[in-house]
Amino acid sequence: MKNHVGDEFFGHYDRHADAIFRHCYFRLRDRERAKDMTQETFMKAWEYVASGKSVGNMRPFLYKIATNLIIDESRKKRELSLENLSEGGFEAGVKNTDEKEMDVQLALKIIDELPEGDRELMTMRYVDELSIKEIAEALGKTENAVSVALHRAMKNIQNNYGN
Amino acid sequence: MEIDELLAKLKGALKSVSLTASEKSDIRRKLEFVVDQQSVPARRRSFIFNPAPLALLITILAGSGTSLAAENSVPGEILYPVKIKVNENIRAALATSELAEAEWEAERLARRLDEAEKLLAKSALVGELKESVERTIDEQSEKAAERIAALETGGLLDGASSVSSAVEASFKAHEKILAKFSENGEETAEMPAFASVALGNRRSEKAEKLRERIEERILAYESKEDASFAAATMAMKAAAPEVASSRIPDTAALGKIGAAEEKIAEVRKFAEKNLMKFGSTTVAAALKQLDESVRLINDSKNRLASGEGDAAFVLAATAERIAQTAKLLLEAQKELKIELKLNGDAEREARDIRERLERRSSENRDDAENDGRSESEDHRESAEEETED
Repeated sequence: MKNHVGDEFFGHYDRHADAIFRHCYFRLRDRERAKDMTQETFMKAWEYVASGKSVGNMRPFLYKIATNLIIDESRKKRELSLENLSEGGFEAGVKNTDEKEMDVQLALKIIDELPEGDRELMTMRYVDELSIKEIAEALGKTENAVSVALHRAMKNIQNNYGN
Repeated sequence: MEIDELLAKLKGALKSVSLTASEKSDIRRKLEFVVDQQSVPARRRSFIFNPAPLALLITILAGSGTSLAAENSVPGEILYPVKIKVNENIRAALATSELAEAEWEAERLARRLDEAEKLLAKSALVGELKESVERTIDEQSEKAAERIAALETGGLLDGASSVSSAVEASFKAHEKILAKFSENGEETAEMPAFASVALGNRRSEKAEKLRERIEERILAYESKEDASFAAATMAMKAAAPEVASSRIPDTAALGKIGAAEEKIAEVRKFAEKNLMKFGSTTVAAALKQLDESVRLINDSKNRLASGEGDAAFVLAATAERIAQTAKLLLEAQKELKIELKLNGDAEREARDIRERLERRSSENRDDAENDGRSESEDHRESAEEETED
């Protein structure tokens, strides 16, 4: 029993650790803290599983834990501008003229300039490819609200960066 | 660019942000350990410094209860080598970042001080044992200082300052405990009481100086930034490039505020929980220290709100240290069954840091007045500063 549950748990870890890390990183802009958060997210998830409770869909559950942890840790961080936040991580805004390879910097700049909620949505949906249903579950919103918000975020990006 | 294309590229670029293979397996290892416990996993964030699962880890890795029992041993006891060679090496191995390594060396120093205090309480800190204990403390203090220096060189000024602040708290608490024992007449032929108090005093002063020096570096950056923009850019260009990189992010200040608040809550809880044991005078004194911490935190938040992240950081660090020192003293009081005076220090430390920040802003005002001078004069001056360094 223990081994089975444990194996399954580590299966989730192997599959989702990077995405959870990314999720934390984009919000914290601090590699070390994002690593800590990733670790704690899985610790908490295990704690839950080990206590005998069952989790329907592990992926949104993990995002939910991670999001709550980040909110707990940085409730006041919202007051900070994104400009300040990016100081902890990448130098955004350096453009590369090489057209073949889109610069990571530019991608980060685009992501940076999104409102925080949009940033989260876009990475969940288009980078980590969660379903609308999973995102709704992770964020505690309705599927409709998620769809609308995604649509709006896409439009914004298109207006700002598309042709 | 079409939106689909844009998204595809965005996705490619963002996916490159991920854990390295070793980071991923490192976290996995820690999780495996917790899962292996079959018990309730760690609740607290800092797994590494959480003693409960740690003790379990040590038990498992050492294959018996021996190393767990060794945790409470002091120099001269049979199990002590297990504590040093097995337990502590395992913990050292768990520290994966430079910061974690430095924190661990500081923690190890705290453990050595704790052992010295336990021996002192048993009147066993005498002769050769005393010599070797004191030597080990100095060596460990050196090791911690080296790690702090490494963080500083690596540009992690916030980390360097935090670890040096922790070292200082340990030494300050130790100093008070030594003073208490010497009052109690714990005098030995080898070292009269006043000499051992003086030694403790020297150590904590040294730690304080180190911490202050690092904080000066943190604050030096901002004082340049606060001066008028033109002068600041000029000065930054003239000054060594590492000055620019020494700016600590606002998130670090926020993190520090959070850590300090957590520490205050922890100490408050500890003091109140042991009200009967400590007596109301002690608890009231401890709470008074914490009030000072809370005031510093409020100052810190105000500074952060007005864009002075660096000042916010050092204020929060001071608050955290005051709380940490109070906690160490309360713990010693409980463990060693001695009565310690808690008053005085918090006020002094709070006053010191406030005065330092006040001095800095008046210096900035002077700088701003000097901006009236010709630019070339300013330029020349910053060039001179550079050669002086």
